[in-house]
Amino acid sequence: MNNKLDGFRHFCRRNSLFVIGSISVILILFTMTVGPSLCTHDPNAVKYSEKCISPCAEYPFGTDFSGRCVLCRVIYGAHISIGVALVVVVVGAFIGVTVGIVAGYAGGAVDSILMRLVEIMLSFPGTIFALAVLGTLGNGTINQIIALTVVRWAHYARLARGETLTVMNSDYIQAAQAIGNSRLRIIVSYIFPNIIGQIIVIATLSIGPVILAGAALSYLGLGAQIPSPEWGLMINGGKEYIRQAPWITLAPGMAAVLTVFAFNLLGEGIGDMIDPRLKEKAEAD
Amino acid sequence: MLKFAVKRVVACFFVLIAVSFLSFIVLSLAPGDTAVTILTHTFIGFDDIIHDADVQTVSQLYNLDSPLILQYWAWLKGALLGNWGTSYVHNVPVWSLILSKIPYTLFLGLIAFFAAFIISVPMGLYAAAHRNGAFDHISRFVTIFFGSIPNFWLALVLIIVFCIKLNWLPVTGIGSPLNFILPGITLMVGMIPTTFRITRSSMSEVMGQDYIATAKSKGLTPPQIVSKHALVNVAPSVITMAGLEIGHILGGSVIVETIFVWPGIGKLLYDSIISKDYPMMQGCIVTISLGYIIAMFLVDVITASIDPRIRLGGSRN
Repeated sequence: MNNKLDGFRHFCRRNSLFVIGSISVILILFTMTVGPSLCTHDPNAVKYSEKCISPCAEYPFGTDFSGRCVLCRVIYGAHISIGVALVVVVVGAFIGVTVGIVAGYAGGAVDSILMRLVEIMLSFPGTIFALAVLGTLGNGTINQIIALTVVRWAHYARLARGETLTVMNSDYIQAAQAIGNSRLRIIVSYIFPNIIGQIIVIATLSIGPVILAGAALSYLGLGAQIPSPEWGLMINGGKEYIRQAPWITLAPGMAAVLTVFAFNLLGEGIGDMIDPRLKEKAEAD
Repeated sequence: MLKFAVKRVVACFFVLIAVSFLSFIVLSLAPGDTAVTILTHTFIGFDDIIHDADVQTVSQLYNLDSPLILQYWAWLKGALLGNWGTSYVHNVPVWSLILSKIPYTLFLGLIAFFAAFIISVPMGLYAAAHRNGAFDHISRFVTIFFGSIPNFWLALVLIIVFCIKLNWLPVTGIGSPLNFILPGITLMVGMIPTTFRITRSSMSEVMGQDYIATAKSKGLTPPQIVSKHALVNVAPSVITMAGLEIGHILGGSVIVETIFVWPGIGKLLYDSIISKDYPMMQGCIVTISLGYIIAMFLVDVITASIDPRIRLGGSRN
């Protein structure tokens, strides 16, 4: 028993980033789930008689310029900010992994064409391309998700292709080919399970940056629209009032910093634990 | 060496063509009639006097009725000869407006980058040389935290503290050196995490190599090992990292420039998106990508001249 406890302590010390990160992420997801039922105020109820009240017992983070409870809005906003990031990472990873595996497995012309496309995507600065896509599609949360996904998938595609090429050289793939499995079956049951670990590391590492990118687009007025309690949008709304009521701007920003910090620590921790070299590859992007 | 450089120039040229094509297509997919957009800018507030005949004239003038691929071809021919089209809003050549904005963005970005470089590279080297020590843990924690701050929020917090509460610094303007401080800090904080992490990880990789163990076993002191054996081998990755960051300068400051009303290319791009000024957007995007591609090219040439393996192998990986 004592041995196990020592082992656990050792694990915690070796993987401090992972432990701190996962605890914080769990706390944040917990607040996000339970929070709305504890909120006594409606996040969108406008009450001009109570506008710009500074933080007090009734309103721990104060109220905004329309008399809405800032704490409630921050908690509801977590659903949008974190939700958008998760959708972008999952969809982006799905597209990227599909393209990457197909390119790596098919090789030849298919590989060259797909990888040139990936290179071109990566030579656009990410934010700029997202801005261009939003400039075309128009504003809104769905378009924001599309814009961020269009930017993200190429990163996963390049990684998935590299990992596929590594796996392809293994004996078990040759064995699977030799006993006559179809291509689809080889991809789904042999290649995919062997590269998914690496993809998960990179996907976790990219949640934080995607939350920031999403909030930035909303801050510019190109993502979520009024009266959504999205954090970037709340900060944008609060900036007119930073003299009288700085808490309108400060609270959602703090929430964003804590959330992104938690996901970044978790990502770095998982990276340290599973494969430090892989993380370095992702950092080079 | 020359052959390598020529090969890279040709490759960069094709990437640039592809980037401009892709952004042209994306921007052309925008809903609404471009001719109407142009007319709305010409007759601000008098939208109701726009006639179908005007729309047709404008369509012909700007060649908007021809197929997309021909429109792109016309743009490309012009662009290669130095004509990047005319801004719908400002009614001046796109290229001249962009040229006038580049120095502002570049100057601010370079100041921020050098500050970030001076702070984070020594930190990264020290952290990696004493891996898993207290300094390593603390500096990693701090830089991950820096990487978690939304830059637009940091800018506002700095404004609240230094302009409103303390009243030390101006919010906007470009006249005095004081104007550089807040946007510079905001950009710098955004750059530190990447520069630190890449320096740290490449230095750790070098410190794990056999030649470092050899240097240790023949009795060199740690400072000698670092200065004589480690730094030379970290240099290519640090140069690559610096090039990537500098390449991102043109495109990296849309938000910071918008908040501090800095008259650079990021603000220009943001304004053109808001006003649907497509030739301007296309011009800004191509310029920003061009900056990135040129930086990448210089990085390739410099690292190739340092490291013969790249020159001969043709690939860094």
